[in-house]
Amino acid sequence: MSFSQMLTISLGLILSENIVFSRALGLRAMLEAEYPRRTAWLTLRVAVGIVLTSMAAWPVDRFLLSPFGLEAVRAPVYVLIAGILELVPEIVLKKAVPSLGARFREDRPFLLLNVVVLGCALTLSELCPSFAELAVGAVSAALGYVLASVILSSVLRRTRFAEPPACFEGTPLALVSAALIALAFAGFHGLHF
Amino acid sequence: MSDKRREDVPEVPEDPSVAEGNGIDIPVPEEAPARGRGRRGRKRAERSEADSGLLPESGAPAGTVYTLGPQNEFGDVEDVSFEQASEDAAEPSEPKKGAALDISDIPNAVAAPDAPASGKFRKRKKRRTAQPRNTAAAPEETSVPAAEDSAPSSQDAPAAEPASVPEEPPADVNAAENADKAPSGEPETSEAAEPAADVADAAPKASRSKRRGKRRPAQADRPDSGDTPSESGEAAASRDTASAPDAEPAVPAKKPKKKSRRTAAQAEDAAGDAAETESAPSETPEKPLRAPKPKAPAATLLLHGILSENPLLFGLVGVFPVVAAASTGLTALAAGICVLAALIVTNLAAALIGDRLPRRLRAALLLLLAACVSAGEQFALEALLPETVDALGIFIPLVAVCGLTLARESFASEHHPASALIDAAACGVGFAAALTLLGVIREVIGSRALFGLDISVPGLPPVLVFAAPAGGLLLLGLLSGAARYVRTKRRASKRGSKEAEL
Repeated sequence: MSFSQMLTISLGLILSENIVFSRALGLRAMLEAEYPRRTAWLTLRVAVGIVLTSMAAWPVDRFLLSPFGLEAVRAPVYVLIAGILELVPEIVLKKAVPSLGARFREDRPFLLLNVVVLGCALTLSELCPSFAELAVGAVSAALGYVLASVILSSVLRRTRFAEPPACFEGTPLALVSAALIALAFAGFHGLHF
Repeated sequence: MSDKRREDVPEVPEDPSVAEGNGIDIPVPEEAPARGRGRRGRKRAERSEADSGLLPESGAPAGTVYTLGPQNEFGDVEDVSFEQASEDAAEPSEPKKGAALDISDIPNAVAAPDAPASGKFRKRKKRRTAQPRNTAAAPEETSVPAAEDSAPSSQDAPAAEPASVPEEPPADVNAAENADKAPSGEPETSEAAEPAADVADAAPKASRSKRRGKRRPAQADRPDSGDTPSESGEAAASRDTASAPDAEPAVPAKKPKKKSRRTAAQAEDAAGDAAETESAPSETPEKPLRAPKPKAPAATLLLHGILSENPLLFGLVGVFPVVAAASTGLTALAAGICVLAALIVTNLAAALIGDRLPRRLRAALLLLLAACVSAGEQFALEALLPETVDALGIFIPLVAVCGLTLARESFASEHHPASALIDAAACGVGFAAALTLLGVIREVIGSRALFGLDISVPGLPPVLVFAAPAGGLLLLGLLSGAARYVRTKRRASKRGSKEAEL
């Protein structure tokens, strides 16, 4: 893979095809974010999850699904992979270190088993045929996710000081703001090297 | 863990203001701190309560409202035969994991503190199962004479039960609440049950009706208590309302229970099970937790799902990918139907799984199920509407994993499958309708077409932004704001009209 190819993929996934702004993946978590520090931590973990799951899903897709024309069942298989990646370490950890396991909250959000991670894995397995491309793509998508999170959270912090009509407070206002940023990001379309 | 959390409700003195806020000291030193201390602390508190017999009774000022009605319970201890008391004592100490330590049993445990969960008492239980007539006849001197004869006969000849119960379905729906309000000479219980009813979940109801069943002399109920304590309690309660001539009219229940016919049928099954195959006693205490799941009224569910709590316009659960993708009316309709199908399947599965799995595992399983459904949907769409497949692309699988699935999962798992199904249908239809509306608006503005028909106006070029994902989000934000505005106005006008009436 040449350098220009790598740059195309990475810039494309960070800017013009940003998974948050061009596909609205993971927007929900960002719009609801209230505590910047906690959100940043969560975002980083999801970003790691994107890379991990995409890489774990690639061999399955390459050697099990694609050769047999089973692209349509990618989604359940990827959900299964993400679920295993998420839950198995958790269960093992709970059994091995009960004191640590007791600190897990039952209703905490899934880190890997969510729309962002699955959407990324599905997108990347269509975009990137080789593992190197996929690795670059996954890291770029994760970076794009973090970038979107930073931008959105700073914008949303400012909207908190605004005084919109009561019916627009909260998510509707955040959605409109996100839409405007997405529009700005759409300006990166047509970026070619 | 979720089981544990549910058990919290009957454990605490059910009116927190009494226990903490009013400064009335309850001489249970372990009780209040134990609540925040996690499982071990709570267990210790339970044990100490059971051992010391301190539970609310002693030292409570006159007039204190206790949900558990301690004096009543203690007064009842004399009424209950030793056999009964010992069995109640044996129940909570059964070593089954996850079994509820029902606080209604504790006073009886105090009455017979030396009764362990030994085989002796299990034998007694078996014997009583074999001869329900004897035990039913034995405690006839106890207080409630009204439904005396009907109770044992309903257990012995279960066919009598469904014939008698459906006669008063509205009273039976509220039986658990009414039973406590019925004027049977226990003002404390009836007073205190009202605050409890607010927070009531299935479990405390079960415990309460269990108490009723205990007070009842018709102890033929007891053999199947392991299976359906609340059902038998419900049946007893419905008899109670029927027997009390001045029983209150039916008050709308907050969480109506199952239909009486089903209840009666389950009681039949349970009685049959208990009589024929004596199940191992270690199995039985598990089931009281699975008290009948409440049904929500269908009309309310439909109204909420489609209009007042529309998941797309008000809930705004993680559906943005779908919104971004559905840029035309047809695509939006297809995506909406996909969501509807996935939601129905997952909601039904969630209701059926219930508490049998830990919550996270259940959620993961439901997502997997939804993904499988979405794979099927993809094939169906390729066959039926191939043009939408290109537009939706990877979003069809994501439909399954979108937040709507998990958002309704917690509701579904706590309700009856029928309610879960109605809820899924309502939410899915509401979502699909709103999404289609959005898609149509986007198509009309963004590409000057309506379901593929060209409606372009010369001199008025299409606004391309609305065909892009950003346009979808923008429009969703605006629509959601508008919907909220309408809802607020409607509620305000309703409130105004009510005030005017007053």
